[in-house]
Amino acid sequence: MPVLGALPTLVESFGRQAASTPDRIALVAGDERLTYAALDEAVDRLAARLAGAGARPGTLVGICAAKSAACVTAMLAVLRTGAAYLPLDPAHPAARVELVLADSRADLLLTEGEPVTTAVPVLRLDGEHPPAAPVPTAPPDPSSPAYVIYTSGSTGTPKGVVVPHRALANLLAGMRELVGSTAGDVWLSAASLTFDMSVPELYLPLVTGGRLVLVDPKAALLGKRLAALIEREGVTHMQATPSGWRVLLYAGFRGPRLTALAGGEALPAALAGDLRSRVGRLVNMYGPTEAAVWATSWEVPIEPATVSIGDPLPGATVHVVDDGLDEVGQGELAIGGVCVADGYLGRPALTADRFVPDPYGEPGSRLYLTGDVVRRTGAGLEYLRRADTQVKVRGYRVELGEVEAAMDGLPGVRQSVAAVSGDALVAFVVGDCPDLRRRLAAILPAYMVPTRVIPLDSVPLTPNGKIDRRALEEKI
Amino acid sequence: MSDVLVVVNHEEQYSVWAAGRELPPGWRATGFAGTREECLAHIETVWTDMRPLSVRGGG
Repeated sequence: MPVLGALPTLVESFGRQAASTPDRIALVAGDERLTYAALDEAVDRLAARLAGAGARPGTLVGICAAKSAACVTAMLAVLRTGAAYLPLDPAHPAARVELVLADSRADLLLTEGEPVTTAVPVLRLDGEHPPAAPVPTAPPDPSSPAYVIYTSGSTGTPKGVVVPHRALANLLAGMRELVGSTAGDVWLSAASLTFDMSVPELYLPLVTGGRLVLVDPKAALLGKRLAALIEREGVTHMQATPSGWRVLLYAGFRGPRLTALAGGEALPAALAGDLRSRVGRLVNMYGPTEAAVWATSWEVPIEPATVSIGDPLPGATVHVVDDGLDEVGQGELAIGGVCVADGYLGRPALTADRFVPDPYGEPGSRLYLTGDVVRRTGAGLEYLRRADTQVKVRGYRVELGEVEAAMDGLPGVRQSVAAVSGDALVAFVVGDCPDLRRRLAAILPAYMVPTRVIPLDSVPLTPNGKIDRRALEEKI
Repeated sequence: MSDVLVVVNHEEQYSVWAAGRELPPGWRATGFAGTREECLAHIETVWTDMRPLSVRGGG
């Protein structure tokens, strides 16, 4: 485990990288290409404007902009002033953006186009601006916040997770070790900036001398175009949700030299096997926003029989615990170590409820209770379900994931989703599988066989690339 | 029923802890005890500055 505070912050790592490889291409977005020197200079210029507008350690700056070179510049510039940033998606409904902005009590808003609100002082990212006097900046305190990302959670109320520099630096160091990141690597970033999966793919190339290729998250839903871009830009590393990888596979994608990282949703075994056969390397990633993106990883072998979430990344400790925080073979996954977030912004009770004293860690440290149920196996941890997604159908406890796994195993089924409607179990199926219910009845107890099967051309996805269960429920 | 304690660490971060269980090093009980819900409601009122103590500074 790394010594606390020993890792350089992202601000220092990027500054050093820019100084040592100024002429290398750092960032590609459409036709735009920026060298490390050009990106560093743009970050400095914007940091000076931001500092002039009041950004400094202890402040929070909202960034509402489409995914672009300017947006990545903005994130790095906010960090350079010592402030923390809050990504906001201009494609989200204005009411959601305003709600998050108000809840966060951000001090400043960086935006393109017309600002969504007048309640917060605004700096425009677009347009021409006179140069501001550069301000001397000290590297941020590793304990100070780097970013705040809002997650919806199962309760429905969005909450802002405050992640300190120490946890971010630890993530980047751990990921660097895991994938062996080098200056020759080209990372594709397809995740939405409001989804914390974007954090490692944006910054890992920029602290290792590699190249960051930005893709609009909506374009990532078009498999053929994305596959062509991966080929053209020589992409070596890419993260996506299992749903996102499925889109690429349907487009016939093959990337024998690609390191593929899957995360953000449970990875079905059939998909893992298919994807593994088409890429150079496949790693299954697991982690909550509250433990700085990725906390565990598992190297997927050729033709995996089962899927594991593996073992902790450096700086994370994992414990499978019961209600009394005692270690058990199957129970709730708790995460400790340097990766643990500060908590939920402005939510003391919720933070105290989920971040608890760590009986296994450093004095005074905390464990994050994930709400995920896992089992210890010889191959690491096996993800079973959310603690709160077990559903009851006519009195029977049903694991929707178990029903989906059974359907996915039937010939002709490309993808399936199980859901509950009132008193009935409903299945959504992509593919062509006659007699689906009869075939399921041969392998599942009757109460686990869906009473209705709704055929789909494709499964709807959320902006984060996860299965959009709400959109599915509307089809029932 | 007062089976849960409100506890706090060196960074003045609050949490809850089962009363009968040995408290991990680096944590101390604040003296407030109650049900889990009562403890969380208490924390909602007393934990007014959620920044870790070490970064509060003058800001």
